Amino acid sequence: MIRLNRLDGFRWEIPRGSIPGMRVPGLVLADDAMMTTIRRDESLRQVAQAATLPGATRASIAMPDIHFGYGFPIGGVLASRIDSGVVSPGGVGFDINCGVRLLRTSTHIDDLSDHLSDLVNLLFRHIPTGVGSSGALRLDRKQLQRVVLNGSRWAVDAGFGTHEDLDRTEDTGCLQGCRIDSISDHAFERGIEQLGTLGSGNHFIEVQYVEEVFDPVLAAAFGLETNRITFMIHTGSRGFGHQICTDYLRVMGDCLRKYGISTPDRQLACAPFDSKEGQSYLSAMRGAANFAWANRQCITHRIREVWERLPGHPGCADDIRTVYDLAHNIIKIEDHDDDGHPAAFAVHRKGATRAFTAGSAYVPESYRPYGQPVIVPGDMARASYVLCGTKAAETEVFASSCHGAGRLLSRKAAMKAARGRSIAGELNARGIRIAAKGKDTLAEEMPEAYKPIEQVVGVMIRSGLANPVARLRPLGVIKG
Amino acid sequence: MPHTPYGRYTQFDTTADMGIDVESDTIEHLFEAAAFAMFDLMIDSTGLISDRRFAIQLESDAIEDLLIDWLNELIFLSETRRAACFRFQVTLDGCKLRASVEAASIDSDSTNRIGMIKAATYHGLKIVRSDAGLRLHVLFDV
Repeated sequence: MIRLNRLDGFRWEIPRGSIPGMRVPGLVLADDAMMTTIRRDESLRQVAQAATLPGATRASIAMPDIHFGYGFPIGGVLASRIDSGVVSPGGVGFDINCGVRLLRTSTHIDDLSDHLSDLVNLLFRHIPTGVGSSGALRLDRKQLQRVVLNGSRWAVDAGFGTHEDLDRTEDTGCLQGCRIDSISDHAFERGIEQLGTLGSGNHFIEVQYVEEVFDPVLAAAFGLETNRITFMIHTGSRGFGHQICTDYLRVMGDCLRKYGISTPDRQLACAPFDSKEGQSYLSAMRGAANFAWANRQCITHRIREVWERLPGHPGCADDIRTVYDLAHNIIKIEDHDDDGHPAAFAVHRKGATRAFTAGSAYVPESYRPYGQPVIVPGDMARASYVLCGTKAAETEVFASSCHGAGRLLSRKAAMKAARGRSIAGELNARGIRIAAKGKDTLAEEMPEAYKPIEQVVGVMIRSGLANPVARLRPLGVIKG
Repeated sequence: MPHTPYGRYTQFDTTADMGIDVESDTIEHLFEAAAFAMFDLMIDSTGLISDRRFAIQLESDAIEDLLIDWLNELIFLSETRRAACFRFQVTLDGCKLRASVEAASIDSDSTNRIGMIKAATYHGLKIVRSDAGLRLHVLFDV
């Protein structure tokens, strides 16, 4: 059992020394009820284990949507100083730059109600979903290399989006510094047919509406208005990113011996930031991140096409505008304060997002007076939230936030709970239209499989680390 | 505990992921049973007819690394060649592997597809030898 010290109603410390080799304490954000659940699995040990990595600074942090991962927990944030630290592919995970994009429209919910079923069915038909989904775009190897180097910009240059989309994407949808020779043939083979596809598991497209605005000034800045239709896209770098993580976990295993680094879990394998292997991983990871941003950009374009062609609905593609697109599985090189001195860090976020506030250079210019939108998807039935980070989040948790509701039930437990029920029927009864491909997806992804989103964002808000901007309700869900 | 032609296995799950515990009499059978059990998480092989064969050669520094390489190579084949693999013949010479894999063609719309595995992980990976044979514990990212 991992030792915990309560710091206040929402902060728990895992003291240094809880396991051998911890360089910093753990900091877990949760309320009492959530902590009871969190203690049931090994995720607290994973928070402590991540704290053993070289260069770890301030704390190994767990967001309130924390659950068991491998190596790092899901919901983990670890900042490692680049002058003395490491990069760890396990601190990003296999789905590199899995992330969320929120789109807004000026269409009122009442004007869509008669067309909602058609919209969901058309989106499902026109955007490839499911295990091994492919065929949205035909690319050759050279074109895929350009995607990997240029990210969302490749898609916009190809006619699949607007310059405003780029401005409202984290890092404008492209991380510089990817070298093609850092990426394996296997990765290119896995990625070549998957651009513009949703995938399976917890990935989704949702049709939503803005149910409530909490901060009218920020909501107006983000273009969010009560009762207007929004879309949310959740997907990542698909097989391309999975293969890059696989390749570099292998490389990093050898680095442990080469650089004399000891980790309590092989899945935490890492390399010094400045090493050839560390830089090579960062290069490949940037390529996967760019693939993911291009992927969400291509799906955005397809949603606009469907919107324009929706029978009986006078939709216009230009009416769909990007609110923001952010990554929740990634390493970013960021400047933060370290005991009163500015320093550069490799900030690992695995199931956590950036949450920079007003004035930060990491916030797009158009949002800089307000801060960056933090998009937090919930489950299929309840709600999603738009938050905004606070100064406290910058100083305490490296400007980070939770990334979603966080899984509560295993897939088997969810299947058991769904036995004898029609999850689609239950969602339909709540006015939510569903289109899903996988036989068991709806059961595995049923709402009860996730923590209540209100509880998760409630911890972020009440701990002073985020402010609420708006709540979004699902109307239609497209799943793989 | 389900039997495969190569050994026995059980599935386990964590909050978000799934894994397998495998028992077998030889290290070759352990690799074969692990592959069979992994595909059992992804594909319902009922009614599938072998129409393709793949030859795989791998080499590693340690048997645990070789096992992860083997499973990840099969995931790569499954995704890029749309192959449902269900018969495996493995030969090991230390940490060198040669394998023949029989598979059925399968597309993303097939009702035989039941799930996806992104990768085999090193988390908690164990290969344990005992008088009764060999046991393996491996977790997948699903």
